Amino acid sequence: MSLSNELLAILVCPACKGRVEPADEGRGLVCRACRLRYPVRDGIPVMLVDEAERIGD
Amino acid sequence: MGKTFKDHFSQLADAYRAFRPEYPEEMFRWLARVAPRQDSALDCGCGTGQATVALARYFRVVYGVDPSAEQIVRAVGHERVRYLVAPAEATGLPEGSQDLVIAAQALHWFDLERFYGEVRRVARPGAVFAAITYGLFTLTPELDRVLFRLYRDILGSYWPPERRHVDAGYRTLPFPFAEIEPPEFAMTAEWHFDHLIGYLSTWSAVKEYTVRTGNDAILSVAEELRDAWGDPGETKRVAWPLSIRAGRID
Repeated sequence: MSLSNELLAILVCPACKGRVEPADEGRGLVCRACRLRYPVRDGIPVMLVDEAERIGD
Repeated sequence: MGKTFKDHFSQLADAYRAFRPEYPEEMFRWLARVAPRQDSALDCGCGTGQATVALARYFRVVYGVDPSAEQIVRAVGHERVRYLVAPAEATGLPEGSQDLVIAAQALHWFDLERFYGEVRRVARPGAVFAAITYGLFTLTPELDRVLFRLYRDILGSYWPPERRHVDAGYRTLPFPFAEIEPPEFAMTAEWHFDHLIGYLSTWSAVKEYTVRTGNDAILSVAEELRDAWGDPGETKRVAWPLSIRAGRID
C-alpha cells in the first residue's frame, strides 16, 4: 500500500476519533458517526471540523 | 469548534522557508535514538515542514500537521512525509500510532491540556515527546546590542504574550512526561548581511509593529546594524540558543 493510501486508510475523525472512510475517489473522508465529510484537497486531508461538510442520511 | 488558531504566519510562509535556521542534524539523530522504534513520527505545528522532512531521514513515515493550509501547501515534499491540515490538539491520526511526537517552535501556541491529551492518545507505549524552541540569536557583541534593543525595547510590546515561553526555553510551560535530559546541540548558520534583514522580517512582532504603527521597525535600526556588520558581503556566524524538553510517555 502506498503511503498516500495508507494515510487515507488510517485517519480518524478529529471530533469522535472513530475511523473515517475514503470517499469520492479519494477526494473526501467520511465519518459516518458524526455525519461529516472532510475534504481532501490536492491529496492533503483537511481534518478540520469547521471545514467539514455535513452529510445527509 | 470555537477556537480558531492564531495565524501570524500564513503570508510569511515563503520568507520562513528562505530565512529560518536549520535544526542541527544531531538533534534529529538523538530523537530517533531515544524513540522506542523508528516506524512513525509526528510533527505538530509543522509549518512548512522543515523538521518534518529532517525526521524522515530516520523514520519509515513522518506525519506533519498544521492548522494553516497556506503553510502546508508550501511545505517541503518528501517520499516518506505525509501532511495534514489539522490542529495539534486534534490531529486525525489513530491512537497508539506514533513512536515520536515533536513540536518545533510551536508548543507555546497550543492549548496544552488538549494537546497533551492528544499526544497521549496517538503515542505508542514508551513513545517520546519533544518540544523544541530557540530564542534570540547572537552574532557579535556590537550587533547583539542593537538586536537586543530591537527585540526588547522597540518590539517588546508587539510580541504575542506566548513569546515569554520561548525566551524561557519552555521552562515556564507545564510538562507532564518523565523528562529525558537531552545533550547540548549547537544551532548555527553563516549569514550575509541580507540574511539578517530577511530573518528579522519573519519576526511576527515586526509584522505586528507595521500593522499597528505603519512603520518598519527594522528600518529604525538598519543603519546601525549595517555599521556594526561592516562589509555586507562578509559572512558571520549566527548562533541560536536551542532548548529541548523531552520526555517518555507512559
